[in-house]
Amino acid sequence: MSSRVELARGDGRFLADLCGGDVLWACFVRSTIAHGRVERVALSGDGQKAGVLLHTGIDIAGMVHPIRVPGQGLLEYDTFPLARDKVLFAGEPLAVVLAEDAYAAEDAADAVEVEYESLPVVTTPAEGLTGETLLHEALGTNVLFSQDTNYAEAEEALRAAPVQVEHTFRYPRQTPVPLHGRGTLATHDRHNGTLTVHTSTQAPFAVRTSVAESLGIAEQQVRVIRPDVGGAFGSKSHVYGEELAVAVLAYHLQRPVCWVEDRRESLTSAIHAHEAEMRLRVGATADGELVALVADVLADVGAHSIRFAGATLEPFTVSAALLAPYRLPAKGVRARGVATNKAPAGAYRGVGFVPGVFAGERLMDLLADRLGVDPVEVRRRNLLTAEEFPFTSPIGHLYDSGDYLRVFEAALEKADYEAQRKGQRSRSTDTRRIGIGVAAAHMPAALGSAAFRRQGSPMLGGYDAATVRVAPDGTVQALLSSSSTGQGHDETYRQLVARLLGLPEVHVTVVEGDTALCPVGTATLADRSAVVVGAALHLACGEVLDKAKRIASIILGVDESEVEMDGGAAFARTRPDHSVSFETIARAAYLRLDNFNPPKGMDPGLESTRHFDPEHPTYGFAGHVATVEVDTEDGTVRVLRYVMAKDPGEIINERIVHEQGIGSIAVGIGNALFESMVYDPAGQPLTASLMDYLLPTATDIPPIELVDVPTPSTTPGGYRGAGNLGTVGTPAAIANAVADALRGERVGVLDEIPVTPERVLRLLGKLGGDTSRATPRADE
Amino acid sequence: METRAIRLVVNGREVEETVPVRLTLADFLRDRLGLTGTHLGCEHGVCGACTVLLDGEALRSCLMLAVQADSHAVRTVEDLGDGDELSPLQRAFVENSGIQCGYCTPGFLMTLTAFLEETPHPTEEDVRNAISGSICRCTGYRGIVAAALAAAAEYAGGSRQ
Repeated sequence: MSSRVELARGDGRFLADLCGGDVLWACFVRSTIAHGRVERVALSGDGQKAGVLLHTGIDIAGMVHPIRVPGQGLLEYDTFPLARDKVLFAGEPLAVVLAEDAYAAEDAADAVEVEYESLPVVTTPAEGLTGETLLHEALGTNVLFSQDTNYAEAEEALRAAPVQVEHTFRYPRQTPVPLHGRGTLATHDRHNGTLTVHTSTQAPFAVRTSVAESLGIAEQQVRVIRPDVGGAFGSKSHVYGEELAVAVLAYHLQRPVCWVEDRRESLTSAIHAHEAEMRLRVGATADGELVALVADVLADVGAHSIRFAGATLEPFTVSAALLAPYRLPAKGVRARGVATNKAPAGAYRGVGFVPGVFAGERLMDLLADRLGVDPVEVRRRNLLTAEEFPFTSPIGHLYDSGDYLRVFEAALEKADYEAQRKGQRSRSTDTRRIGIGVAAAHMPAALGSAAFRRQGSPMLGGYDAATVRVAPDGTVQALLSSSSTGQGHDETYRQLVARLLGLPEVHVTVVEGDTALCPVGTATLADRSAVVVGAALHLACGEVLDKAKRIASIILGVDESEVEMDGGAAFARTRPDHSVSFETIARAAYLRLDNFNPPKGMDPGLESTRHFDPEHPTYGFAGHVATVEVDTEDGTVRVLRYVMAKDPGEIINERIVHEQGIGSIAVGIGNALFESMVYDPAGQPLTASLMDYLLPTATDIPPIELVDVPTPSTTPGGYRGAGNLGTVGTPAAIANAVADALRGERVGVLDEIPVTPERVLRLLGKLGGDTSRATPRADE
Repeated sequence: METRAIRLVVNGREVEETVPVRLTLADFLRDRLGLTGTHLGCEHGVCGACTVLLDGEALRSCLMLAVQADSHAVRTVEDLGDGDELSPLQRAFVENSGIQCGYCTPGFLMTLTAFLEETPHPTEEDVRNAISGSICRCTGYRGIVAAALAAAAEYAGGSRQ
């Protein structure tokens, strides 16, 4: 990835910057209806210009093998890059045109005439569940994912609980909106047979596998390189039909083909996320100790299961998230992922932990209300403490180590919670109410192969790898299986390798995102890399260090146990002036110079490739405290102050971790206050531009205070994932704060976000319509 | 397709080109002149990634046609530094966590370059208002604001760039 200096100069190399010269520009023809059969696709008279080519979804299908998305609890079916005879969401690509320049390609796409036979549209899981209209007819159902866990047992435990609270929460459809959208440039080199695919991705190896599988060629013939990605936040951890189509066309046409999506395409056809309805029933003792949770999770997974996680992702992770950091004896979940005629669901920073924590934390506040205690009290009585680890959750997830209550208390302390509570009433006026909300955010990071298999994403290897390669001149390359999209891997891992090998940072370079150079691993997602790549680096650097010390001991003529490495040199502990530089050690390893006689069995060279596959995920925890001001006249919500205390485990680079903390909370503020992808009953996306799908700007972000309360994890290095803990907890904390601000008013229950002015006014009964469900629908 | 000859100054150099009238200024800069530092994030004037300076004023090049820039002077991010040297504002971005993925960066740099010229002693609130027309998805804006204030302090202490 380009350095910060290069990016500051405008010298980044993003996908859009690579498409010049002899490329053919691709523009996708997309369905204008949400559900229908495709009867005819043709280039109109105007469109039939020289140099313009049209390939329909059926044409493309003829060039590929179908691929599938495997997963536990998931219905599998064949998929092709583009829609063939049926379209399942407005914006679904069904054909592609190619032209000599981007403008001509868009002209041509406009000139493609498509005739459809419209079919009834399914826009809610409730409609999907009736099965009256099937999206994938061959499957016989719209339920793409189904999983029941301990449901009957938990219901029984719930029945015995003296205090019971029940509520249904809804979380809206949202989408990641990376500033650089998707884009792919594919070139086939006839001479060496390599198909090189530059693509804006978090998952180069998944793309490589999928391209090779589609084309029926050897994976070695496909090279995937990620350029500067320009942000991703989960949306680029998938493999899209458009990416495959571009690769397929380059391969068959023997010309470079380039595609760069525009913002409308990004908003309406890149993955959506989070949309779920969660009916929760919690039981507690009279003292507020949790007894049981029974949950019905209905996730709207859109039209398709797409690689990597398919329709499993949201329903599974929402289920896992519910009341996860608490001492909860019994938990039962019935989870369904239902297909609808909307864009496919996928990963958006925090995945189902965002809606799950929202619902769970709102429920905890309702429980506190029922018990007549401050919301922090129910957290205090139920959050796990250090002595309880390792802890196995009621649905069988093992949490390695942590001290959740201590972290939560640190957040309260940093936020001056007691003082804020005391001063709350005096700071509020009739029309401007101050609200304070808390949330406990918890999510696994660094899922290994076992966890991914359990989660229903077996395509993700779950391990990561690092090759630490010393050159004969003593400089070091760390080639990683991870693939950053802007989160500072170069800086972080250069620092780590330099520290582990006792070298100056300038002697270390990091290489990522090229399948021809880097060892195979998992896509970079879900807070995994510090833990998993960090561990692999510890192991690989350990091996390199051992060999370097052995070589040094021979050159220095001392016992291996006496050798220390620091500041770019190895020296004998008892005689620090007796040293040999790392450069000399490397030269000796490769060139056998400097009177170095290698012992029998020692191969030349100085490098190591090691893997790490976490047996159990590490778990990150954060306590959030949001302070808001709600204007009861116009409904606006302002976040005044935000505090997050988190357990990041050991920290490699403080600045990077800090940056991720701020950035993730900012995303969460957007989720909480603004973001909602809305479809009308005909399945037309209404929020198809940034004027409708709103994102936070600099004036929306309040002062944010961060505290780190680390407990080392049990993986090498002791790291935990840290990048998503902000996003996961922020919508919950802000919703709780708004509900708190409106306490005392005759209001409905705040059970849905974003907390827009309309929602606030509706809660206050100031807008007509149904106040028992404070949820404005698209048709109101 | 209608074309027109245009003549303008880009980053201090005179440029003469014949362009289709519907070619946007952003695409002209990127594709015709190879100045790919100006980025497209939305092409409907919301995200600010395409911001350039036209006669010293910040504007969205995605909403302007190249032919409208005829006889004007345009500055892009490539013009901020001096050879290999970064401008104090660029350097402040690097040093204050103002850059993660880098895609929004040029737009913020151009907006702030014009803003700091006009408002050499801004408060934090001034800066946040000035950049409220630009979207960043990575940083949460804190580093960008810190960079702007650091650069303002440096400009106030020394000579202007």
